[in-house]
Amino acid sequence: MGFNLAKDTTRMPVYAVLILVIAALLILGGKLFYVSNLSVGELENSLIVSRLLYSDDCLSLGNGELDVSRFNEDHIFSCLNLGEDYGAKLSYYFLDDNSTKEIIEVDKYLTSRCSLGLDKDDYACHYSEHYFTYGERGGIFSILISNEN
Amino acid sequence: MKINKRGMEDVADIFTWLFILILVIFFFVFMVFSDAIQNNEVEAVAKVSNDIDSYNYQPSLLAYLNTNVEYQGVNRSIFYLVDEYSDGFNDVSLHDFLKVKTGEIFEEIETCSWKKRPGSGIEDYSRLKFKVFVISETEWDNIKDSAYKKTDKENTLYGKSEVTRPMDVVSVKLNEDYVVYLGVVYSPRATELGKDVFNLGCYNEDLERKWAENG
Repeated sequence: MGFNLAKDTTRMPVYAVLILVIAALLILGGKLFYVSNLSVGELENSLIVSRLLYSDDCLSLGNGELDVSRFNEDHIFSCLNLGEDYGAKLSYYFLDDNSTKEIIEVDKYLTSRCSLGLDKDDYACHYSEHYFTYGERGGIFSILISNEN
Repeated sequence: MKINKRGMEDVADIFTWLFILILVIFFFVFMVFSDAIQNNEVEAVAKVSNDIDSYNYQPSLLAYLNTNVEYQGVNRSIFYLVDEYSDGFNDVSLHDFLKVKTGEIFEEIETCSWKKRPGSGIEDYSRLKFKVFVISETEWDNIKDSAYKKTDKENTLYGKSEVTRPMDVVSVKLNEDYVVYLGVVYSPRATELGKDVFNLGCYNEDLERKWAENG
């Protein structure tokens, strides 16, 4: 026994597939946009600051003491191991002599974007200052980190 | 039982539409749940970022407490002096001395500390302010989750004595009864202050001095 279904009915599975394909494309497109907005730039910057302040491979001597005798480009480059998407400007001075400021800058172009106010969604800037001691002296350690999101 | 052609067409229609409906519901549920997971991820990242930023001030608190200062002709650490002060909280001259020394340090580190509030827009950079206070752990646990206000038992060594919003804190245990807390507080947004965070130029010496002078 056989039936001849109406044309509209036989096309329904095709319509169903079309509707699902369109829905899937919309959802996938939306998800892709959403995931691209999951910015972890600020978190990455915070981790770099943590490495500077806590790791004895960088400057930390524990208890808030920083070994600023190791504050030179070679050491900072190797301990931070920053990728090419990062810029950093680090400086410190002692409170009893704030006229002498030691500065290291990694990729001036990237950090200048923060200073010039070119803050866009595609990169993140981090500014912070921290108190530290070195022997009997106390000082301020300034950190500016910029990275691509 | 005899089913005519028209009846079979109706049954096929119903099954086809049911099939489409189930698939649409499936996609809708999938979309909602996947979005919910995504939102949780964003919130989790924002929270972790915020937590790490706060914890990054732990070395500053340790360094502050380990700083040696001369008080009444004797060279002692701030930790030792705060411990002494916590014994009754009634030594006014020691309190005043600690406020001056604490202010010298934390006023400096506020100059260039900025943070974008989690989940906010580009213009939402806020200057971080700090508050150093001594309070018992139990007392802090009682008030930390509510809109935070100063209590009679709190002893502020730096910062506004009253803060009406919760703070992120790092702490160091002082003795059996008390803990020293360093609270990280968001000040009004740069835009609310009518200032441009970038052109304040934390790394532009001239503007940095102007900012420090004008508060």
